Amino acid sequence: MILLESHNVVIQNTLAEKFNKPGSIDVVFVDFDGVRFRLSTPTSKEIIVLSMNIRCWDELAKYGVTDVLQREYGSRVMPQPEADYHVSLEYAIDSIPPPGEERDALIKAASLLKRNALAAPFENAFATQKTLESSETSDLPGQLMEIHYRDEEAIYIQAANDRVTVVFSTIFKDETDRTFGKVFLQEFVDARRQNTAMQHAPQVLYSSRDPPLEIRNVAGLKRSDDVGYVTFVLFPQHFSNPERMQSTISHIQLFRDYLHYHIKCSKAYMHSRMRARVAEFLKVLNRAKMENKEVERKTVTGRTLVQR
Amino acid sequence: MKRIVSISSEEDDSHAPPATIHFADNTSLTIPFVVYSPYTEVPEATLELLSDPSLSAIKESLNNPNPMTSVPMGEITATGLFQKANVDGVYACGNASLFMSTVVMAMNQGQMAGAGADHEIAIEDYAAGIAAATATYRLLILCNNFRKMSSPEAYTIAQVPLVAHSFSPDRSAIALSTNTNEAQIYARQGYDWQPVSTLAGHDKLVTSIDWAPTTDRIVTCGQDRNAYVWTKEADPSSPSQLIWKPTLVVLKINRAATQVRWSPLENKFAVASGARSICVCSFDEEMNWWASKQLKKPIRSTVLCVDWHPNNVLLAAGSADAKARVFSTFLKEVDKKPPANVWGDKFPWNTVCGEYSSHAGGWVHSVGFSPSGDAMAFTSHDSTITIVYPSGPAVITIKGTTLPYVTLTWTAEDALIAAGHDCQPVLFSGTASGWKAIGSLDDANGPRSSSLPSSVSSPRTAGAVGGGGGPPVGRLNNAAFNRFKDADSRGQSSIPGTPSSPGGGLFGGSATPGGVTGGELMTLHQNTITSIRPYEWGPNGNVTKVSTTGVDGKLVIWSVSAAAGLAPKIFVR
Amino acid sequence: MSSLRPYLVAVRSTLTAAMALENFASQVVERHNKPEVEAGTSIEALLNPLVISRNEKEQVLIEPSINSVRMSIRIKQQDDIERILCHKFTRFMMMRAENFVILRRKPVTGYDISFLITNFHAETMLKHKLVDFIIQFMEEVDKEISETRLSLNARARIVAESYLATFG
Repeated sequence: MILLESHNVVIQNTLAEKFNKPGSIDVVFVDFDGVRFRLSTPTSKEIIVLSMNIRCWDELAKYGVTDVLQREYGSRVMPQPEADYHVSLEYAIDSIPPPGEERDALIKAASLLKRNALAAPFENAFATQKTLESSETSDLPGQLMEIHYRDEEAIYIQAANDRVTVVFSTIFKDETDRTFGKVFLQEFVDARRQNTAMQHAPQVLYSSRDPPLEIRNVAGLKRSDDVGYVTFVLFPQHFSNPERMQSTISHIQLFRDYLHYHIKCSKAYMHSRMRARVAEFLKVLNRAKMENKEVERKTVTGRTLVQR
Repeated sequence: MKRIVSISSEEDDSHAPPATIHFADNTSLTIPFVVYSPYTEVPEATLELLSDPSLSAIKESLNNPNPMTSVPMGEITATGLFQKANVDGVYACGNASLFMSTVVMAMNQGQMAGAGADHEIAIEDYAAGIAAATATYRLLILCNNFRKMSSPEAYTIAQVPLVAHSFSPDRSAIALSTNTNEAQIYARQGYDWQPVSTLAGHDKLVTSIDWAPTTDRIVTCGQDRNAYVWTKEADPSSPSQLIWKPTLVVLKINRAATQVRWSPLENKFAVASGARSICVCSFDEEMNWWASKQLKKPIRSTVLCVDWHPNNVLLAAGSADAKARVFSTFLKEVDKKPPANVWGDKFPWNTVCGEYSSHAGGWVHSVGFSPSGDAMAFTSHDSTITIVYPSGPAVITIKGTTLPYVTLTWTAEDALIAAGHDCQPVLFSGTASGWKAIGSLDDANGPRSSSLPSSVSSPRTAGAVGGGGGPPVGRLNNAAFNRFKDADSRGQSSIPGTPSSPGGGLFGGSATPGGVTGGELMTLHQNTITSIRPYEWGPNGNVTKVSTTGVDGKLVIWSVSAAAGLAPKIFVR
Repeated sequence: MSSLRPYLVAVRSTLTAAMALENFASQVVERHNKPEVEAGTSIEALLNPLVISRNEKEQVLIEPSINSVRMSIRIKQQDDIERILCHKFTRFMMMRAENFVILRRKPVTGYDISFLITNFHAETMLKHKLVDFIIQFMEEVDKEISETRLSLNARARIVAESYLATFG
């Protein structure tokens, strides 16, 4: 499995199960980036509530998350989220369509709650770009949106008249990660050039330590060796049609997790390679040990001499 | 009685093919097998039995094998030369014959009292002489192919390094240090060496052992700073048994002892030590103990080896300070004033008669005086052997391209054998005008005595003479040569450690000892040889056999002439 | 590539000569027996150390003595990623020093990995095989590092392309 999936599997499986066989439930679970979910039946067995706590809710709110969620979930959005959570969705069992495509679509949508929330700023940026493009009046870019979705790491999005720039700031906790990260990111940068099939991919830029121009003025930027900045330049073709746009949004928001996931996989691979190699060496070294040979002596007529 | 002129046999697949005995009166007799044993004993059969066509008596004795029954004396009634498969031999038989074999082993034992390097032997005289000398009847086998007689006898004593060894005077037992705190005595039993006693007393590694041939005492020394003298005494609990009783010698050193040697008269012994000194010990009758006096100046590091001059006073010593020195160990209570010799005129205690170092310097691993004492040789870590002739004066250096030698023994006034990290003993020869290497005693291509023979040799016909049927002796272990030979004879392309140039140097010029095939070294010893000692002397006083022990736990007895490249002949009448 | 064979041949013959070891009780402390190359207190028991260089980045230091030899290797590391791989690899091995009896737990300063072979090792193991092992190790380590690095690059390319393809 190379690509990470956008939907939350726990939500998907649990809802499917519960829609089939309603019962009481109260589970708390997590997703990438410290997002917390709760699936429970607070009032009655027939009403399942899905709540999400996402760190950067307030920023998302600034960029129109409420509207987006309203659009996706309609009346299921509860006016008042559960305590300690930022948004809650309500699923009454009797409002669930019968098993089939519709129900699956409903469950799928529920499992995409985090993705949909994070989609807000992107949709906002894409809309801004369209406006700027058609306005032709100014070259000034739109506002710089900051989403601090993780401790110490953030996503910055800015629309311009012909593109949308997304900057990820990421921390590499140890030196190995950093070096591996560099190797991976270099490939991202080079992919467009090297592979002709990749011409349509977004442009990727990478810098360690120094933040890229677009966000240079942002307050509170951490400057140190373990910080890296990855810039994606999305062109209109990446979000021109609705389907393409949704796909772009789904994938771009998972970038950081994708990168770190693969860094970890590579470390594990390297570790198992080393272990195999070291075992090989040990075998070679053992060849140097002397064997104990038992020498049997026989007489000419075939009888064996016995030690007395 | 009929006189046997020869025995011939056809090779077949069995181990004991039928043989035809030819008598002097031109008759012959075929018997279904011939087997023989070098050791005493067995049931009786006479030549008449042999001529009994039904051979019932012989068959009966074969069914009832009891190899250890001793046989009463018999006079020699017939002698003859026989040949069997690839063995040519002489046997003497009286009113006994012998059975139970282990032919190959027997041959390689070469039970040849005094055969030495003599190649021409008058058979009847020899057989008669030997038979007279031995009280019990033994079948003697003289191999026509001298190679077999001179094949090294190899024994794997232990799986641990043998640090030091010394044989009993009659060579029936050997005292060994098996890399532990105890010395072990092994006795020859059959074709093997079995442990019979343990000399326990040291509480650290036993580094050296010497068995005095005349007084039959053993001295051991170890890393525990002690030396013990062991004497045979009756066991108080079972008086008919003899046990070894230790006497601690207070050396007064505060570091490990590395080597110990009895003096020629066996009234003193010298202990080399890590305390930068040599302890010379002599027995003090009054105090009833061994008193130790230390030689210190001008030694500046651990003394690694010592060797006595035949005059019982001068001692050669090699040390880790890269010097070989000759000291006087004159003790007025014990020694008479030695006459002047090539080393000097006067020899008061601690006189340094000479101090030598090798070409590039390097720890002096072993020293040795020539049999007369007029020359002294030492080996150093720079892979050289240096021979000093103080009368010349001459100091000859033999530079080697091989790994360093750590032990040496003189075999004649003009020959010595050295061994060490190259895992094979090498013979050197020369005089005050020059020395050179002659060859290795280890013919890596020859048959190994420790493995069963392959029936490779061609059948011999009666009367065939001469050795050299197998590969020529004394072949130098040239790695490249062996590799080609392997590819040819064994179809294996073994890749030795270094691609060596065929012509480079005496030993192939490669740093790997000998050649290497599939992990095993081609030399008999699989690891460094730690100690080489003279084993047997010939009638002219030269050493004819030497024994070596190694880090691989093997004991090997080598024939010196194997390196000389001489193919001996046996005289046939 | 052309300098690899002579380099290994030189290391092999030097190492074989350096393995002419014998039991040597300490001259300094009674009843002790220590590897002289580590103790360093008896200078006459030490031989001149030798450095065999293939180039400034790849070197071998051989320090022989009467009862022990210490051999240190500086492994080729061309860039950051190779440096990390080398460091991890050698650390991995050094943590298993007990299994690899002849490995030293810490490398000598300035080198990536060190071996310590004593006369006791030479008693229980065949010397020419030990040399074989070390030479093989030197060849394999280089190979391993460059192979891992290549596979890492290949992985990275696949990861990048898989990701970017989704935008297409």
